[in-house]
Amino acid sequence: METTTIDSILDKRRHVMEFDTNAPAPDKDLIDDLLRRAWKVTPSKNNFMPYEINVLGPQHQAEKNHLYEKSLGSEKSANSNNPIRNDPRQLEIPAYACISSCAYLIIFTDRCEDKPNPFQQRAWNRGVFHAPMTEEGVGSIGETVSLEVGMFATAFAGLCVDHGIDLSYTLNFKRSLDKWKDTWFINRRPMLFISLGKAKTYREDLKAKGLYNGDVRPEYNRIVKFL
Amino acid sequence: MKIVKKSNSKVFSVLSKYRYVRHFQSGTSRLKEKTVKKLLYQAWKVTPSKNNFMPYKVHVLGPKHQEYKDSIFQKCLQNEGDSDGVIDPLTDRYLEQLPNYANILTCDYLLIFTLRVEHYPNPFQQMLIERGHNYPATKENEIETLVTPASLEVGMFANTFKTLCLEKDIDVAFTGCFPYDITHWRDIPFVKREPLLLMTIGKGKVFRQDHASEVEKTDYKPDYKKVINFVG
Repeated sequence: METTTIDSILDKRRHVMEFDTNAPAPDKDLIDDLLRRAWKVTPSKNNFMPYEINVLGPQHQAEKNHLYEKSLGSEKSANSNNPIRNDPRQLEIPAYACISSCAYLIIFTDRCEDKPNPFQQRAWNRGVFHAPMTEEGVGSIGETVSLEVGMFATAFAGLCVDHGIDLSYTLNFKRSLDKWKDTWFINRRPMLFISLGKAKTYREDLKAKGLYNGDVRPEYNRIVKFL
Repeated sequence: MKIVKKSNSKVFSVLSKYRYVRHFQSGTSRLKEKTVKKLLYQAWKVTPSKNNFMPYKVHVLGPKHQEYKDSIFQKCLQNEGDSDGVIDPLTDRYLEQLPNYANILTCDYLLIFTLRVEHYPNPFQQMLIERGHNYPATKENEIETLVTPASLEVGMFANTFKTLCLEKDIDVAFTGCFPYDITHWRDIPFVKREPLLLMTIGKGKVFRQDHASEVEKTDYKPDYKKVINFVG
């Protein structure tokens, strides 16, 4: 009898603070397959999928270290008003260690469609304006791109969890492309990082030690309002 | 870590059920409010949020709020007209078939996602605020800077809710074609901040893929390799 429910699968996801660098990396073909499945089932407004997903595998440690440093720098900048100025490296597990310790790092950026499908092209020729077909347009629909990235990411995360792969999301980075001139593999506006692998420490493990006390999500009734 | 690819992935089989709904069944087969509430609760429970702020709100309009649904459908039409320079899209484009977002008119429940300011930070957030951390999610005058990351989290919540609905054979559709400017929403009293997404749910009656014209069949998504760049 089928007892596994989607709720129970999705509920298994835990934020990973640090991955186990001694554990073998998930097979590349598996990651490729899960991404392909997520691509297949994720809907997109007008079928544009105005984002690109760049996958850095185990051999790209230098790139991951670079992004780790960039994320630390971003946090430092965001908290520059904090008089205490804690060095995030001094924490029990340095913030964003998930980026430097993961097997795969997945970077979502926006994407301009230079080869629309026949239906999109036909609509364009009839006067319909499709923002993803121009660079200016893509730049103006950050919220739409972001929303769709969130949908893709969740589908992919569900598939990963279903296969016993741990993951973390990172949103703390600079979105302006000007800030990424020193990063050869980010040539478009970044939207989200996902790090994958086998967890060594979950955020919940640190909670059990008394860290993050009181860090609970807003109550259900404050987020969902039935009218 | 030995991981074997599952041919029977529950998540994949459920997500594969998704079909865009053009019209929902109406009449006596309404979804029970209790069911919708339970699924929304599950989505709230498992959806992550940066710093645990969840800077969005989900307004749920049930079957009795047809007037609001009609008004929101009109806003979508107006938005399409304004965007493409068409005065009356209904007569100009949709004499034979209503637009895809007409599912708003027939859905059981319409969900409107908007931005939300956190006026009551949790104890952990409050401690960090007192130590000098800056959280735009708690500030009226900075919340607009969070539209992009909040949209990502809305996408996560909506997709999780979609997955839970599909498991129960409840159909859903998303609409992103609506005016974002809050001034267009003055007649909807509970929408006080920028809307980010419209989502409809119910039991599907007409699906886009089942009635696609030959032209519509050429509306395929970009190739996998255009979207995924496996650097290695």
